[in-house]
Amino acid sequence: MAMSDETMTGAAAGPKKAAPVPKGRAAATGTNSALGQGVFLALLAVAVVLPFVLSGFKVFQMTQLMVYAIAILGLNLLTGINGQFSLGHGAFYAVGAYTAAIMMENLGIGYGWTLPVAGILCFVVGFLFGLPALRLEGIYLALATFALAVATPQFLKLTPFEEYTGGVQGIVIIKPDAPFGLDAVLNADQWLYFFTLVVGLFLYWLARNLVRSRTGRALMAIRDNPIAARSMGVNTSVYKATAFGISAMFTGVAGCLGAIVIQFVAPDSFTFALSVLILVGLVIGGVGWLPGALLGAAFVVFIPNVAEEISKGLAGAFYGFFLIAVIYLAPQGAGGLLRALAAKLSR
Amino acid sequence: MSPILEVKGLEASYGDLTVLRGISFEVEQGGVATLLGANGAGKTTTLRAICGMIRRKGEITFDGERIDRLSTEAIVRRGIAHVPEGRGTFTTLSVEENLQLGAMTRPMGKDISADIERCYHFFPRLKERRTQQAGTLSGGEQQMLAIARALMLRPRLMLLDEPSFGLAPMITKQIFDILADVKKEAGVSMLVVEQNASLALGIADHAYLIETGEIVMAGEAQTIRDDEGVRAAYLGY
Amino acid sequence: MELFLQQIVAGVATGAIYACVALAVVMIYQAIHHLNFAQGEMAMFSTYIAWQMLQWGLPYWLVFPLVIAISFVGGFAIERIVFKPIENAPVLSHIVIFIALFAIFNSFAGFIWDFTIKSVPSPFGEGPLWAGAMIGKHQAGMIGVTLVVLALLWGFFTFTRVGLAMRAAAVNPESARLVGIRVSMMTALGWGMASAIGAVAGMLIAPVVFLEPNMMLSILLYGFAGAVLGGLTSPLGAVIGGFIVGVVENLAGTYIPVIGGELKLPIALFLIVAVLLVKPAGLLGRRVVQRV
Repeated sequence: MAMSDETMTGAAAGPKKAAPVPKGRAAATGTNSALGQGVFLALLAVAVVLPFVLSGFKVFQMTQLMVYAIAILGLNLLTGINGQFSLGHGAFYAVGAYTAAIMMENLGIGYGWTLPVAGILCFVVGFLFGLPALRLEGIYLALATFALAVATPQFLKLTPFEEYTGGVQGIVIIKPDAPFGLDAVLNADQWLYFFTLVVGLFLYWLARNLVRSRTGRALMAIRDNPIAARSMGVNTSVYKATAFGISAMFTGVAGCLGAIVIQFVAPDSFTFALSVLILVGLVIGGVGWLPGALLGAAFVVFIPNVAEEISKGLAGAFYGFFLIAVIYLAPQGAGGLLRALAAKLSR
Repeated sequence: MSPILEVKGLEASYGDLTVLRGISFEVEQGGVATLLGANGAGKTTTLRAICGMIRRKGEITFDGERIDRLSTEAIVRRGIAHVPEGRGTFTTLSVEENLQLGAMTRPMGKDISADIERCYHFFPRLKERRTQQAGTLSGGEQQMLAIARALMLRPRLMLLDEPSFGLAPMITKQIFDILADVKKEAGVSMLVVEQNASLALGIADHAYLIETGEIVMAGEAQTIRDDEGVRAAYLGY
Repeated sequence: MELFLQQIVAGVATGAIYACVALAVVMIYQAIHHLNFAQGEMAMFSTYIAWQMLQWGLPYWLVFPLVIAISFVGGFAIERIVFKPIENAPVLSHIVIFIALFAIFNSFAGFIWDFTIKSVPSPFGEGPLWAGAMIGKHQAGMIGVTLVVLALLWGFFTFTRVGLAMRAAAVNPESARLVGIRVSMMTALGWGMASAIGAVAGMLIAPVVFLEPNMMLSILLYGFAGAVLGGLTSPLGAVIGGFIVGVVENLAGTYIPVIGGELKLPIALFLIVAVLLVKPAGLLGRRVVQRV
């Protein structure tokens, strides 16, 4: 994970903008590429060892962390790279999750196939949502995606669909075992952990290549100055809708994985709170900085527990305080903090 | 008499980009100084630095008081009116409301209505449009409104950022004639930043030439106007 | 027919609450150009304070203005204290702060006053406005108070100097500074006013929906919807939008069978979005033309 290349932050739409980081600077910190590679390998080594050292529940938590990281990665592609706002990514997560559940329990198809199906389905859904979203900017897009997030659990509870969705009770999924006799070495939790890890690495690789490609540059150009981009011949409509589709795809695959890991889907698992969680993870990790997804996911998985340890009755309040503290310390998320550090060191 | 505005070693930057590299100049009491230069030379940045709108270093003294550490609002309250680049009118508010806003720092009272009438005297076109939304005015009228609003402050120093920008020659002549009147009648000191050198030199007492963040020439307006190099580069003859 | 009219009246009455919330939303929007998700929770918290004072035996006519004042100061203080350090942070970071405030207010309310439903009396009394009237006393009261708030706001913005300064700061903050307006103070004032209006909305709705920590969330959403529908730059639009949302919500809930209690909100939101697709700046809003 060469951190340098992902340090591309644009200004989110709105009067209060942090000055955008010029790409020149990102290239200037290219000397950290070796450092970035080193960090990546170290993390990978730790990741491989972890499931053998931690208890079953902790392994499950780490797997969940990776699932959320993928979901956050998806949102980052839309908001950080393309500058479109979404308060409704929980909806795409839900679509992916229910795809897994329905395919595995109602149709008896193996879990491996659920991922690509969820991906494609969510891409289509995201793209279709992205089309009307073209007409909406900033706050209006926020409201539209918000409506989507709020509507999701209600739609999942609708009686006509109960046959497929299991209605309010949801669907229980049987946890898959490790295949090909690996179950002698890995228990189900560990297997799912590695499965998620591999999928996550692959998706991260995809995301990184996307950002570095011409498409990625076009998306960022649209984020930074849509009028200029259009006048340079970039078909902003197609790119923006595609960005929605790709973003939804990532988050949908995350949802799919999440369902398999948690072994359960039900409408009330996918409320507005989920969309908020993904958004918080995005900001904490750093908007526009892909590796931040891990840090953001770590925050949203572990900090609520810490808050509850401090005070059961005021868990929410302490979570809020933690959020404020982190934003004060790192107004642009972990990514912003690292960039500021890098800038100070290079002086 | 000591100058009303003294700038020494002013530096300003946008992030990592240094725009002003330590410039020094002054504006005399009741006089007009003009800062001439091409696009990107740092003219607008200078005015914004004086008003505290960007990060700056150096000494800025207004009427004997150091203002380089003050906020924009505090600087304005001391009697500096800035007519910004692009007019800066409150587009959805009416002409009259724009003028009232100019007097925001003054205590309420009949003086203000009297001053509004005086503005209409200087700018009759504004009186015709007093209830219209400022955004619906033409470019020239908006420039007049911006200047009028600045006058409503009863400033001791007016900063004008490219008042001729985007306006037809006839209108810009009108505006500069009015500025000359204002200088005479109201005794307001002015610092005019302009690309249009001949217009500016027409009303200025002193002129400074700025190029890539540094002052390369300074002197009386007449001297600058007569200078061969300036005439070739900025006046076209 | 009578059912229809009754539903319209009921819709207008609940719409009055949404209109109030929508007003608060527009107040904040003018100042900071985004939506404050914590506004509902702050209003709820104010309502709890009102309830507590009533429990202590203070008379309603005293509690009402007192809570408004407290809410004003609270909103002002929160803006100055919480948001000042991150003035220049990106928009999304601000949104996370709103989320944090939401969690904090919700949590404290539940902690201090627990989650059981409390009833709040109506200052207007129970029962129909006059014998056989279609509209209740409290409903009429809600509509009346909302219109009074709107009128006061209009007066404030049109005739007072501070109101003009606030409008200027919203339209062009940089130029506002250049005429000596302390823009950050105007923002804080906007917050204070929004919180005060929110408190009014909370105190008006509590007798109807009963007081509990999660009461304001859906009301806030309807308020957002109303504000956006009316156009975020127009207080009058916000009020009209709020009333429309109230009526539509009631009619949809009554006449369309699929829409039970659960789907009302998303349908309302989707309707708003549909309107936005046709008229992106809302019914009375002004499209901000971006000059290149």
